[in-house]
Amino acid sequence: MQKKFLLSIGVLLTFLMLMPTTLTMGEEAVKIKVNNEKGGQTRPDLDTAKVELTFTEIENGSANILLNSPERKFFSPTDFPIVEGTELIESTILVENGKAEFDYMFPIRGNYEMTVEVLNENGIVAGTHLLNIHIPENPDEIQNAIVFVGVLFLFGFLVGLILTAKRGRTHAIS
Amino acid sequence: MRYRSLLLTLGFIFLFMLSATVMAHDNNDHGRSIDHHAEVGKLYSFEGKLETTENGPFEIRFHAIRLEDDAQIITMKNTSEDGSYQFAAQFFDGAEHDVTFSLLNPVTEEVIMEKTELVEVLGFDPPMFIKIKTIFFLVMMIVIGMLLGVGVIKLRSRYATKGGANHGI
Repeated sequence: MQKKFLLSIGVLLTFLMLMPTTLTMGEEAVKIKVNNEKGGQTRPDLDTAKVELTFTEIENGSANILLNSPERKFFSPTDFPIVEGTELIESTILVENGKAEFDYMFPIRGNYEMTVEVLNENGIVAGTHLLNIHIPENPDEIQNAIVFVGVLFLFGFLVGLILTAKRGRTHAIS
Repeated sequence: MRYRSLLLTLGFIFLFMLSATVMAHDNNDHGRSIDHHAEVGKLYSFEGKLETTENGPFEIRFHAIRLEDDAQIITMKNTSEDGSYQFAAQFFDGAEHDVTFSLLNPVTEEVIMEKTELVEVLGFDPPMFIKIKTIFFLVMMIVIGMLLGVGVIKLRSRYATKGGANHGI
């Protein structure tokens, strides 16, 4: 019984020790950075972002990229519902000195998935990686949505208040 | 009562017929012929070759602009031995776009030659399911507000009645 307990603790500790290493290795192979050249955060359908990819597996070569848009979420619709959960880019880009970059205007907010297949100078696959890009919603649109929902809520509240008060008075008279 | 339900039905028909999407134009305002017909929601593949007398390798730049506001949609580069290219991208807005393919000298980054093509993008209305869901969410906001308004009056009248009874005792 004691042996089994010690063994399970050993397995758990080994797993915990190895897990961060494998995660770090996976993250370091290709790094992604999304910058708004105008400064500030990248707003969907407004700012053209510079997407920078850094590779450790190769110095020069190319990368096949497949960019997928965020999946459809029931409670949070976006400006372009038809675009949700579709393929946005499927192309090969140039890798020079371990870096590749392209400019892109992201259409909607959410978590984008990018599959990157790294090819060396001879066109041989050096690795395939799945990257995530998070694009936040435009703060102005959030503000407008809050105001709009607030106005609807207030309208409902006032209608409920006035009509019920009126009804109460009518009942009182009759 | 019959008129009310008729008005409600007409109101819903009007709401569902509203088009929020900018549809693509049949006749473009630029006096240019349309080279590509793409659709929102689908990848569109550009394949071709930029003919040149110079020897490769070259760099090929793919650049797309939305014409209605000159927004820079995408710019990416790849290598090419003979000037041939292939880029696939989705246009998310149902508007006209200009795509430019440039052949560059890989050392000096000078443009050897380039061609610009006009892309017409067919836009779609949001799906009916999304329209119904959005209207439901918005109506629910009014309903929640109304329920709260009714609740406030009911609570006030209950307290008023209780207060009156206590005062009587």
